[in-house]
Amino acid sequence: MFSNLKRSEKIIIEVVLILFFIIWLYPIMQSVIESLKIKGIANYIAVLKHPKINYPRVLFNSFFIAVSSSFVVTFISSLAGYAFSKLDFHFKNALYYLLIACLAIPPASVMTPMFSAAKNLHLMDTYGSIILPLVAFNSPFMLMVIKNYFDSIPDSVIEAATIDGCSTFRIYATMMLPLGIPAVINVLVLTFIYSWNDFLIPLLFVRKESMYTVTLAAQYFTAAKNQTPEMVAQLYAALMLMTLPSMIIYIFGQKYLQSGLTAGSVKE
Amino acid sequence: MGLSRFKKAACVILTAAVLAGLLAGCGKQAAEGDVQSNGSKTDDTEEAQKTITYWTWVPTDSQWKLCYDAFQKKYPNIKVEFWRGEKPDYDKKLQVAMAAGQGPDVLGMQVGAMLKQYEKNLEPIKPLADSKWGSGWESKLSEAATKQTLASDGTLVALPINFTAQEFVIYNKTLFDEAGIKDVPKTYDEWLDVNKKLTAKGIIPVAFGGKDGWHCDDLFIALSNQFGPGKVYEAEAGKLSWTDKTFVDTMGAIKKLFDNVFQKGALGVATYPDARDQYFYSRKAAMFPTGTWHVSFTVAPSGEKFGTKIENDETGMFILPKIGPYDPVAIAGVDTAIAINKDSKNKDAAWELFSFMAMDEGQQIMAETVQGSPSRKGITVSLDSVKFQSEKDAINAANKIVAESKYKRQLDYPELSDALGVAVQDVAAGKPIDKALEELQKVSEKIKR
Amino acid sequence: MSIAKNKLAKKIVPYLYVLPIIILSGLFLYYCIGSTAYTSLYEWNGINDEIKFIGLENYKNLFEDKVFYISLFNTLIFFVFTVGIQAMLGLLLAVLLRAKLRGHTLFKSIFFMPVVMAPIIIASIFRIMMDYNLGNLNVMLRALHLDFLAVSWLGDPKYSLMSVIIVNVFEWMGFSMVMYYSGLLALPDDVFESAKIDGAGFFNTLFKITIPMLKGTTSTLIVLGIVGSLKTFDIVVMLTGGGPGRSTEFITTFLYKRTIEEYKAGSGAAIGIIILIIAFVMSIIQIKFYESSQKDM
Repeated sequence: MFSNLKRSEKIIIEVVLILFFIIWLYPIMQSVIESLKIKGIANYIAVLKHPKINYPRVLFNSFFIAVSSSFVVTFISSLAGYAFSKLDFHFKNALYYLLIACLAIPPASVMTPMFSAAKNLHLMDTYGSIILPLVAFNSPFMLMVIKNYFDSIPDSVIEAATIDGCSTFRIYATMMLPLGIPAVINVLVLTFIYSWNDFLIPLLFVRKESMYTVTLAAQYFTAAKNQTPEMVAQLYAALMLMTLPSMIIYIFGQKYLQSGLTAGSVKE
Repeated sequence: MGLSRFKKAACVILTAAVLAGLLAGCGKQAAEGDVQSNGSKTDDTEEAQKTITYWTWVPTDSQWKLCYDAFQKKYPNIKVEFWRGEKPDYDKKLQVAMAAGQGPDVLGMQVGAMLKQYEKNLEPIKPLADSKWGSGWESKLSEAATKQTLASDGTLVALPINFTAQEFVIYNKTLFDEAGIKDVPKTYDEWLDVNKKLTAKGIIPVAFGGKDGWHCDDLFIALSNQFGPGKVYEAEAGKLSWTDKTFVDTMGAIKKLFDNVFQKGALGVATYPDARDQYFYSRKAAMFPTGTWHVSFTVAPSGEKFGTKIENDETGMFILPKIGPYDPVAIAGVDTAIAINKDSKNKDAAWELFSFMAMDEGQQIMAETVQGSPSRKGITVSLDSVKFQSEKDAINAANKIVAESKYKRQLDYPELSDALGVAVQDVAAGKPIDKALEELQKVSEKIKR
Repeated sequence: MSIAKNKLAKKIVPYLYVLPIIILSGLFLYYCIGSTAYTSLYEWNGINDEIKFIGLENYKNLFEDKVFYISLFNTLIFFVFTVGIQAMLGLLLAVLLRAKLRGHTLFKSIFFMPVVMAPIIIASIFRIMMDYNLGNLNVMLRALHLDFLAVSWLGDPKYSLMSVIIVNVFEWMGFSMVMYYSGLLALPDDVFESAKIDGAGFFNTLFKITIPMLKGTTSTLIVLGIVGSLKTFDIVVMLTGGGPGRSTEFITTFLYKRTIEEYKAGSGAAIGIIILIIAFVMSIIQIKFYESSQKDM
């Protein structure tokens, strides 16, 4: 389907892609233009030099929170995804559905219990108060992504290994994870992005400036009805800057996905 | 394959680095915390640092910087951990924290619904004020303002920081001059006439932000006082039906405004920042309806006007023209109030901040940044940095109108505010007036007053 | 190791795999759900300790509230269109990108970029672009003499929900695309090779082989679409604020108004529980449907 395309087919594909590319690029360019209004590139410099924002600290906080939650989420959801997909045990479906049910919890309706949970676990004013809810909220979703992917890996692959006497953990580590690389990478990248972009959880839990995340720092460019047009432009600049790390992680993930896939198929 | 192994190694190293950073970060965090808690525990000695928290949405960060610099000079021993966010974010953060008993020591309050819900968690002000300020302090503050910071049982639980009024129209006098318009419109017909002249010049006359429920509410409440002064507050209290003729007429006027006066598509435009930036400050529209808080835009050098396309234009302000049988009036409201948390463990220090913001230097600073009008009487502000007379007039007029206004701006019941905004938008979009008002009345009947 | 012991271990081991997620996620979330369910039986302003048991009153009031039905209906329309359009466009673009022609990496990154952008930027930009008088969308349509298409995108209740859908598609299509793309990468090449030998054309292969083999991804996306629609909030609030009138009132904007603006924590909790139940039932139906179709294959 994808090799030996005819020349005409190639042209059609390129044209369609470029058309959609323009549609998608236009609003993104507009965002960049808005972020350059009034003072141009100085808006970005103003963001980076904002006296209230300690960038190394803010970036560290966001990175630390996003990286730890994405590793934890990937680890626990791939373990569970493997079990739900390939192992047999009592209450398997019930447990799976119970976890999946949590997907739809609207964060706005559980803010108060979330806060009291963090308080009772003595997590207030620690990174844990942010990481735990992020892990909890992202896991069911990522579990589903991974489990569905594992489902598409034929059982025959594993049966052979089981007969060879491999332990379940070895099957998980040496077969499922490498074969499931696309899903694993997606889950890592997506959890990173979601955690990086999350505003509500840091909003509720961060009380000290030393724990500000990038999303909270963007608040310095708002000022109720006193937000000047210059601040509006700076807010755009701040938010555009904020997307950079996520984009880098995404591109890195896509690159790795390709090589990981090839590696996986070689092992098979 | 060699590359892949390298990548694996890189991943391991990266993870290790992150973990190391984690531990280091946590250690640092804990150390910082220790210093602070030590500081606040030994508060018996004179030099002991007290730390209090203050959460709000106004003052803004730049206003707070001015306030805090002055505050620290006066009270070097009190450290304030200030948090500011936009109002909807503040609402969430505060609600959740207060429910868990983790609220701030000093907090921003909006009068009306918010104050009524939080009143039981707020420290009564009068006993503290009597002892610290001495009797007679009430006369130093605008009575119209302090009337709005009372709890349902009449206890004073907050004090105003600033006071603003609606519904006004900021206009671009230079554009008016270019179109040959001499006077600002005072009646509906004059307004149509002015608009015709501007349209002929290719200028969009009025940029109204109809997306915002609050702005639709303000428009309705201000306008309804032209058709039946004070009636809207009877309806708010449940003593008058929203299907009353006053409101039918008000809605009729609103429909006329949306159809003939405001720009097309006004219901999709946000007042801030779109109507302001895309229309008014871009010199594409000549009039921008908003409230008195906006007059600060002409104060150099930090006013919003500077850096935009209208920075050299002369501007001014007029009250919403007369459409109904009674003269136009402003509806005034405490924009932001300040209160002390009943559960605060540092009430002495909290009081100093409270007093500073509501009675002392804070009032002067807020007045100078013209974030609405001060509630403290007798504060004067130099307007030397304002270029045009019409702009100085606007600021003075705003302060005067606010001080004299008899009508309040915010409704006490949020479900009513919400339904009113929806009714205004529905009517503007073509829904029959009686149907929209009937729905509003239904919501009103369900409120437990 | 005795056989009995081995058997026991075999029975226990699977639970060890699911234990971490149950502890770190399940317990936390079920604590939240339990607490919300509890609150939904009370009248409470969400702040102080005055709390009154009122049984199912909150639910009863909701079912009598017109706005509740309007917001559910809007959410449903939104779900059907966004999931459909996002999945179709995402699949189409993923397939085209899979050909790995010139520029595909750049295209893919741009399609994905809105997913990582803050909703506030996307909403603000579209508010500017969709403005009736000054927005570039209408300026362009008028330049093309398509004035009848230059409507008030966000200010007219007839079009506002559609506009929110368009913006949401812009924001999330890249997500569907990435999911499909990684699904495509995992498909073994020999399937396509044999199709090629059989002489099947591009579209034939697409509909007969590719789409059926991506069923798992589609199923995931539908479930995520259900959940995502029931959680859509930021973009609506910032684009239209639920208006004009109630034309874009969503179940979440309704929940937000109840909980935060109106200080009715009990009623808000009841809405939260109803959202959960709807999502659960719909997701289960979808998953069952998917599983039964898997067995047919």
